[in-house]
Amino acid sequence: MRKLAILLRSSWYGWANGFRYTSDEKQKKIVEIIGFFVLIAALYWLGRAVFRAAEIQLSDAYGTTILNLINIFMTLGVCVLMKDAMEGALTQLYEAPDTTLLLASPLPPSTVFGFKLIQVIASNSLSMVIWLFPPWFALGQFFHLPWHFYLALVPACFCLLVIIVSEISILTMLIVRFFSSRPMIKFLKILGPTVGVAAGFLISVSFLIPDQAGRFALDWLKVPESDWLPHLWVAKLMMAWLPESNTYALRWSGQLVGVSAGVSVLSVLIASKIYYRSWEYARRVERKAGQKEKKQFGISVVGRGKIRSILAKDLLVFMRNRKQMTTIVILTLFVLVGMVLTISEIQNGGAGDRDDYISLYIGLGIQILGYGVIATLGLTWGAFKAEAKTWWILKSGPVSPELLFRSKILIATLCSVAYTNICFCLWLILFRISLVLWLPILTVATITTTTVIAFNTAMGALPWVAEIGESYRDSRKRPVSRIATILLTIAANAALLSPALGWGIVVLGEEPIKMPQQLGIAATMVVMIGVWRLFYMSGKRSLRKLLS
Amino acid sequence: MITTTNLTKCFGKFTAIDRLTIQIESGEFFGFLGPNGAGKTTTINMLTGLIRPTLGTATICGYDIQAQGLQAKAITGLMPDTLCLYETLTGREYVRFMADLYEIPSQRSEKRMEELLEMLDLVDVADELIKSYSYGMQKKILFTAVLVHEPRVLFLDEPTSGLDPKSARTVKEILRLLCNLGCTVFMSTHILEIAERVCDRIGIINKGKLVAVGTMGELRQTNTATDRNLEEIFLELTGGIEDREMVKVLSE
Repeated sequence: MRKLAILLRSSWYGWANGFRYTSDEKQKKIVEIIGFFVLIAALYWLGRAVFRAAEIQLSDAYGTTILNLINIFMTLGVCVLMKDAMEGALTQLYEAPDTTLLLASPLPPSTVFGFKLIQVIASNSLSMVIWLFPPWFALGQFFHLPWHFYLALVPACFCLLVIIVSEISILTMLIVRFFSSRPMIKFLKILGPTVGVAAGFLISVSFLIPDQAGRFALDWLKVPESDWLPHLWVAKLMMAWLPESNTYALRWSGQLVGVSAGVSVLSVLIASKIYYRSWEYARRVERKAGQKEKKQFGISVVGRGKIRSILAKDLLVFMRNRKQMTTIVILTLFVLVGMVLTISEIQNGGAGDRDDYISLYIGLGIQILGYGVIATLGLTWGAFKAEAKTWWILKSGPVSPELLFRSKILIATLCSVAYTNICFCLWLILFRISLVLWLPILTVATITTTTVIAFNTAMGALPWVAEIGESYRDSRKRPVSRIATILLTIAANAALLSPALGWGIVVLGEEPIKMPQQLGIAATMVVMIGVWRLFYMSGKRSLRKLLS
Repeated sequence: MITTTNLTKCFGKFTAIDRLTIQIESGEFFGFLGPNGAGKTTTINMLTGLIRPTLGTATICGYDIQAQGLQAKAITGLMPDTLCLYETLTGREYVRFMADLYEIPSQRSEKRMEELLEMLDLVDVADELIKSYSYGMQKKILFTAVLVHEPRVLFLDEPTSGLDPKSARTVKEILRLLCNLGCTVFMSTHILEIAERVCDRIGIINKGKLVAVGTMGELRQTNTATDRNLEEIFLELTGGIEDREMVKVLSE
């Protein structure tokens, strides 16, 4: 215990010193906290909207309606917490640089594990506040519950967090110890971002169509009969505060505290037996994996030459980034699901008249354009940030800002245009759009995507976005400016995509297109090309500063 | 080949490099020595265009590093002390990328790459991702990439640290050979024995100021005892003698 206290103390000092002496860190934390508050407020708003939409009456309070609604939010929160816990456990237990040092020192593996477990719990505490608290706040406000309801929420959710983190840590250790293989580790690493993107998608969808989403969730996420899910214990404990409630707070609180303490002790006991061996296996798999991974697809596939070599290098680095590839796969799945749902809606006669059909088509089209932009964010917004550590290679080499920016914008445009055009072709075929409209639709999609990509790449070249310092040792961090730029980028992307939306309504609504409309569309596209030029120049200027 | 005039770099109120003036000739192997934080890496960063000097000028083969940066960079090669490479490229892809960046005809660069990979025992791992390389292997692939475009001026920051004795010897031999062929090498190192054995001239920097420069013979002449080795000269010039005496007193 004394050694654990020493480890925790030094970890605390490290965190506090980073916060105290590094202004970057301080700014970053402030921005993070603001971001968390925004997310909490959004989820709270969603919770209130759902409670109001469900028209809960006080008489329903003890019924299953509230429990069902709360279960929707809690299930989502638990999924995100599980994902965070898994990522945290993998990183802290097996990948953190201090793990080797700690395991080499005269500390029992159970102490190291205990320290890591506390770190994972502490790092997920904010996540707990974001994902578990808002629906309860909304419920508390809805029924005007007393202040101690909110106070009791903290230990209840904390116990749930401890249970989740301990269980996930045990599971991770067991998997790594007994089934450690490269595909398994890869799968675990992909699972995290997949859950994250899916949760984001679900939330954004429920903001867009709250009624349908609420109905769908209520149908599918009914509270199970059995009481073995810990998040239901929290739900039942907290419902003891509702008027005329007949649940026993003592039973559920005792169950939560007892199980959280039991599971965490159990995880430490298991760790004392298998943690060290699992860490050894993880290292062995990592080393073997690196040695096995021979790549034959080389830089020379696109030919040789300065710009082509930078293009090929960026493409290879992008394609070998697991997270980016996972995002593309998930987004493609969303597009396919969207197409299938739209087709089934049309076939079942869900969409009434022609206008309904058109709005469904356009919605999906805009979705494709958006995904084309999101899929290549790593090549546009993150293009230069990804180069921060290797910036010295380009800066000390004979590379001009013009050449570098041209190559970056070219690769991002090629990837994005290819993605959107493939998806649009599928869209055109599946929805049997008239052949006359194919060329105009694909042209507009290409020009729109190209303009948005130019804007995002220009934003990526800004010093506070790229976070590239004077030399390869330092990097400028300005989180406030960065967040402001993110918001600006989202707004600008939406604004740049809107001409395509307007154009889609005109074209799909009236066929054949009349002359004034043709001229209007042509003028919009000319303006878009002009805007592209503007972004291109501004990006080059920013890059000149970074390379000088 | 390399000329600096009153080269100065300030970070806020702190002067990292104070009016550095040196001239290094073509084909010369120049060793740049100094204690930690003396300003060796900052000097290399300024000479390779990674950071801008606050004052003064630097030219490489007559090209001003600020005004004619691209021309100067086209004939130089940099091997920094920190290993930050494209980890998701293979060794061969990275070297090819560097050759293309410097516009070396593919036939020539391929031949040279294979020779260097062979010399540095990297042929078997050249198609593996750089992230799977050990520290020494990463250093060797970096060295290969620096040499593949046949630079006329080489800047090396601790090139042999982390290398096994055989590779370190190969690196030294290659560098010596390059100097004989007319390439200029500017090397910063902490290993005084290497500097003493392979460098034509040595510059010693302390707290941002160049405190001595010359051949081994010239450095010895500036001191009272002419039979001193580089370590003793270095310690005397950088204030390490007092530290050594303190250790002696403590041990007694």
